[in-house]
Amino acid sequence: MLVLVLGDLHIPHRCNSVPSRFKKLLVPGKIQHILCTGNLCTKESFDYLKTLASDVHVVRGDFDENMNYPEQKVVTVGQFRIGLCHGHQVVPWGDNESLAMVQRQLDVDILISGHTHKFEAFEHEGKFYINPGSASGAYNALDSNVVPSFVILDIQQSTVVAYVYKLLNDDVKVERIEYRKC
Amino acid sequence: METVLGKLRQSTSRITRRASLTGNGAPAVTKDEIIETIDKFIPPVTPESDNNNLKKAGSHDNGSPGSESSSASHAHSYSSEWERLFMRQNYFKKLQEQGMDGNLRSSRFRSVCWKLYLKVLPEEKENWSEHSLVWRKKYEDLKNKLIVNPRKEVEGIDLSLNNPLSQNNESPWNKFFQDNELRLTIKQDVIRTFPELEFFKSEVLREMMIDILFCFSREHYNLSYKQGMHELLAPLIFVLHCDHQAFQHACEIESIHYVPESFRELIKDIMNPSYLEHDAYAMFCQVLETVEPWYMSKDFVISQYRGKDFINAQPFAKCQDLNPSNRIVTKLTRIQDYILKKHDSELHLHLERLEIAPQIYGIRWIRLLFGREFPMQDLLMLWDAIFADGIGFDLVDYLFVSMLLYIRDLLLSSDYATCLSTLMKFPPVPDVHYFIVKSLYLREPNQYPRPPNYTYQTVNKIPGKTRNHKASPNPPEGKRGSTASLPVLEDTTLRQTPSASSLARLETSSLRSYHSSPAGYSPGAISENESLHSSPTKYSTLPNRSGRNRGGKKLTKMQENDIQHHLSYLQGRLNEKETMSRYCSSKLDVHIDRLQSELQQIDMEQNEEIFLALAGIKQVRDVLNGTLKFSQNLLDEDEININDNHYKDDVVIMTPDSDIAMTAEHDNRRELLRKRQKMFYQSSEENSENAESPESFNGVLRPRTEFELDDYEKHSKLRGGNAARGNMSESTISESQTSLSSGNMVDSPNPLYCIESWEEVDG
Repeated sequence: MLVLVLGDLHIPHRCNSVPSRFKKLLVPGKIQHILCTGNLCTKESFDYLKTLASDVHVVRGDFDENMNYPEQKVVTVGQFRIGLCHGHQVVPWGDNESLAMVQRQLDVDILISGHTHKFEAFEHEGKFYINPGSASGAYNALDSNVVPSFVILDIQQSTVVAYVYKLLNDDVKVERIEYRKC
Repeated sequence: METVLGKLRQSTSRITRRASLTGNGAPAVTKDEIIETIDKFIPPVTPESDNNNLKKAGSHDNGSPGSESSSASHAHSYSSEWERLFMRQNYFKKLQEQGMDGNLRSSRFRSVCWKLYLKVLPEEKENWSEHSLVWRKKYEDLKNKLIVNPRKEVEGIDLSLNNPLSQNNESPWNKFFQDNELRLTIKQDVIRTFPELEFFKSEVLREMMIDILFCFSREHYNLSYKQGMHELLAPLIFVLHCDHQAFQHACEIESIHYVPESFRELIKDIMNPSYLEHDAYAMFCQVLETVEPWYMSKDFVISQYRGKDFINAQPFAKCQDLNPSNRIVTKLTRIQDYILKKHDSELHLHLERLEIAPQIYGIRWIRLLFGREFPMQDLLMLWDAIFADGIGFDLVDYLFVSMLLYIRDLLLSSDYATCLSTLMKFPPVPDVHYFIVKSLYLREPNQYPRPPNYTYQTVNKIPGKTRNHKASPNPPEGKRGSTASLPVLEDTTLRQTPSASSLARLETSSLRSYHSSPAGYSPGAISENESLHSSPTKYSTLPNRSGRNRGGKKLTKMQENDIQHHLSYLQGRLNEKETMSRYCSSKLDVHIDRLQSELQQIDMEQNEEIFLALAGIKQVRDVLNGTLKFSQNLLDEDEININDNHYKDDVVIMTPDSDIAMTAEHDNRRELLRKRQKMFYQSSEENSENAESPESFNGVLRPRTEFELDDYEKHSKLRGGNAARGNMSESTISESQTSLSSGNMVDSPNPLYCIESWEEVDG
């Protein structure tokens, strides 16, 4: 089962669109679920995500125009409980311990957060933390050089394999990280 | 999943064991118990054919243990069948004959026979194990290779390839998604395989079918998967499954031990149920090898030559001639234009006129090897014959034609829509073996005996469900394009009745009588019908259903449906006839007016003949129009007249045409005509004022439309003599009458007026 994780597009405020190399890869029909960390910001981006898969989950980021998205969400895919949160609520931004607090609060196996526009994927205290970065490469308050990235999760029974797609020098680089539920 | 035969054997074995326990060697299986077991099982397809199926299967199976009980008990039957089929000298040839004869119907080794026919197994029994092993291994390898799990850790494959979104052709993920798409396509078809059989609804079986079809399509890239292959695969699996069930059952009741030691291992190996998938794949491959060209559609060639095609198209070219690159189309055209034409040009012409291209129904017939036209058991029997005949499946063409011939009467009397619906939904057949026999005969008329000519109607002779065996008369210009052509019509009618017009008369009379028959019937018409049609069933039996009811309640219900169906069909025919008559009369009218105007200009007092003829034609027109109704008694009168011989000598000379008309009908109808009531001649509103006068006559006559128009003159001369039979034709007899008649002719075309005046003259 394939799950697409992305966010922080900031379209059209900070960026025009998702890079075309990424768009070529993202064809409908392969992905079953989409988990979006937020800051899309407009409905057009949401519609674009809807064309890729029918099951789209979005949480509210600080620049989202749709006020109705939830702040946090828990989704169960296969055997995994996946928590979704934008991350601007977590202070300090991107801090491991603070994120761990959110994870304990939501009681999830995988916690997905964004806002830093920087890709992260690590295991901490037996739980998996993923930050897909910014799919469009939009600038951050603290950082102007942002590498566009997103993550595909391949969930099979009790194993999750994360494929990270980064756009480096106009080339798509893929990395693979595996996490097993204990 | 249990099968009919499996369950059957279980029940029979149970019964046999019971019986054998009591010391009785012979199985005491009652037919009821067998039928009961079967009834618990799967839903039958149609009552008619299923009755046959069930009873045949039941009786057959009853027969085989029963017949073998004399030599061995039921426990031995498995081994004895094996011996009978495979252990004899020259067994392969005998096996082929058995297949053709339909003896494999309840065989427990059908799959082995099929494997032999399809060359999955060689003839020499020693090599059977070896070959099976080869095939099975081949499939196993194929499966492993093709059903790829991209998630397996594949060292050395670059991550840029091996990621889920990769669209690179080499990426295992990409292949995975493409495979998934193909599997989805296949699945859509597999789900709809044989929906009427429970057997094909199990998920396990469906997965198996999808795997097999997927492997095959990946193996044969140019052909890939086409819709219809699933229907070819399904009966193969079914047969294998049945045999495996039988084998397992034989093992359970240990009758396998009776097989000679040397072959026990062989049987165990061949019939190993765990290799069902592999064996099915093997057989499927072999079948498809022959069938492959029928599935190929070379569309790209057509688009390439699109421009040229239009230039090359000839006027009046049939649609099937425009893309000759399709193998199946050429095959179908060959079947229709060559084989069918040779054996039945009438039907061929009819189908051509209706522009029913064979592709419309034929593609499905051929590609599925008639899989959707017959219920499963019948289909298996057909496939026995097709496979036994040879790996080239040559018999298919001839089976196609024999199927068409079976329903020829239905087709010949239908219009475009009805024809198509009949062809698309082939009517149930009580005995499929007939097709096999017929097709063998069609292929080699010298070598096989000619089978009796069954058609759908002759076979389905249930009271109340009857049709005319003759082709219906055609409107002269083939207006609806719905029935046989005129020369063909004459052909058929001459075979049965002497002239076309008498046929027309009979048709209308029979239709009319049928029309009124539910209420009551005129015995005259009915008896005439009875005599003319060879079969004694027919409309007169409608009210007496109880007398005819042989089949019990089922038949009555069927009768009702058939009668309804028949009614509507006849109603349609009746309407057609009426339209036709009206058309004819309007045309006649036109011509009569023209003739009359011409004749009046040309002063022809002397030539009464012409006026007589004209009057006759007018009568015909009026009859067709409906303003004149005629009766059957005309013929009666005429025949009697002829014998009386009041006429002038020269007039008595009969023309050859009338000869035929008279003599042939003579023999058929003499005695019957006597019985008939004399129906009064009545005229319509046109002659309402003269309504009484005809009735005052005694059984008067009139339009002798039963004869050809050119005969009319002759006959008209023959009649007469007796003044009471006022007819203008008799004017020739006396001068006074002549002038009178001719005068009358001109004034009032209606013969009735003449009669009146005649009466006055003579009276």
